[in-house]
Amino acid sequence: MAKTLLVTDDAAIVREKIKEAARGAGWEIVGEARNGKEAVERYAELRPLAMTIDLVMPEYDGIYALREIIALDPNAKIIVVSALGQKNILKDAFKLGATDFIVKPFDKRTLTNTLEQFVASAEPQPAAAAAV
Amino acid sequence: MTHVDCPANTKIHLLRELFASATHDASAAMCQWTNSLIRLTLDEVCEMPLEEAVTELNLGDDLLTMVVLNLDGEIGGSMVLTFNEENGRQLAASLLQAEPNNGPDWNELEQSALMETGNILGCAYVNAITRLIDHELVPSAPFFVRDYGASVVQQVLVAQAGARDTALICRTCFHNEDNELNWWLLFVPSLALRQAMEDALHKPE
Amino acid sequence: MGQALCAAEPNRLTTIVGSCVAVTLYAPRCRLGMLGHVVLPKSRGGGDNLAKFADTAIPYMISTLQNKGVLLSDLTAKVAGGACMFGDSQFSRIGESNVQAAIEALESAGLRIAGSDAGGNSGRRVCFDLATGVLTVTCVGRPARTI
Repeated sequence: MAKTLLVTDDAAIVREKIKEAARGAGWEIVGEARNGKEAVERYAELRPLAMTIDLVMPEYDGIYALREIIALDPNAKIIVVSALGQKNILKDAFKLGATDFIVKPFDKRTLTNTLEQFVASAEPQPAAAAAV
Repeated sequence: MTHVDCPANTKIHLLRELFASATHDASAAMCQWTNSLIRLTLDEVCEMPLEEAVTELNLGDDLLTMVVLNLDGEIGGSMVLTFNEENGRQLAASLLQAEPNNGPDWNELEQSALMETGNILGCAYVNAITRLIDHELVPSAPFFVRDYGASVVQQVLVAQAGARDTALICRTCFHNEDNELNWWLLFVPSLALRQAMEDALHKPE
Repeated sequence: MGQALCAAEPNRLTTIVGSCVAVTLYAPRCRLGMLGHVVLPKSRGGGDNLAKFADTAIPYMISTLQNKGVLLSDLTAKVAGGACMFGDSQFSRIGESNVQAAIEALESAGLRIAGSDAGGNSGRRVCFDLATGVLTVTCVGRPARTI
């Protein structure tokens, strides 16, 4: 299964750091978005294996994007990458359908390990042997 | 800095402890963000007359590079991260692992490096305060501003100016190893946020 | 911030304004004037600091100068500042309200506004020369302007 990633953050430096880490782990960056609205549009167009999303962004935020993308694709694999590590915010993000949450500043390994779980879960499992 | 004689100095003392704890969290985040190069210490938590605030903060008459985050809503406030031009450029270069840009303009990546620094620090502060007051605090997306420091601080203080003639300001300073850097993080809580923090700090165990 | 100062030539008064408004009153005959640094538009009857609000600062400045023997008819007024520096909250738009309130208060006092440099998104450094009444306004991204 192709490891394709959509990266969303209003900060160019964060997008670059995520892209660098993901590429190092064999991911293909298929798109970027700077706010929630762009994230929804890109997701609909690209249907990546996974995406990262920030919460606080100008105009349309990450919560808006989460809602819209999960409505579009309930199986979307979305990692929230945000500096807002508050209990209620984490709860809300998971309630809306986020698959995981990484608090900024993050280290590369945390991100790549988190991404790898999607690969494992996306790969087709061998069919159980039929009973004879 | 000039201190106002206020009957509730113990409140300022308790707030100072809260901000020291928040600064500790922000310092840990900053260390990770800058690969252990930079740390923060709380400099001052002070209530001062509005007309003296800008002078006391000693922002000078020069243009500064700043990142501003607002906490919108009644329980809110503002944060201003200030650098002189040279220090700002050096931080951006260090985060981008590139040579400092000495041109007149800041490119998108450089601005984003400083804005994200402000975002990480600001969120570290509000995360700590939220744990205390049990009220969600969400900062705005950061604003990158190059302007007179005094003019930016005025807009930040105006939210307090309507009800009082004094402002509570929390100032944090930055160090690189043993050297103090010419950067500051100012946090100006709204009156409602200040009250929420004071109430939470005074809650009986 | 929230202060009004009086001076005469050869002095200069300088202030930096963002959303605040610098209001100057100048009496050219005696080369005397005041610079007010106004923070908010309306006092709503509260507060002791008259210089903080446009509606109280201007009458205060006028009466201060009149107490020094200046006639109202001698005075000219200028206004600089009132920027929206950043953000989209009610406080970020206060600059516009400050300028409006200052102009209203000046017109209501019967004063002629001889010049203004207001609005925009940048702070201003305002230097008021009491020898001439000229304001030199410096702002990021443009050459210094005199009014």
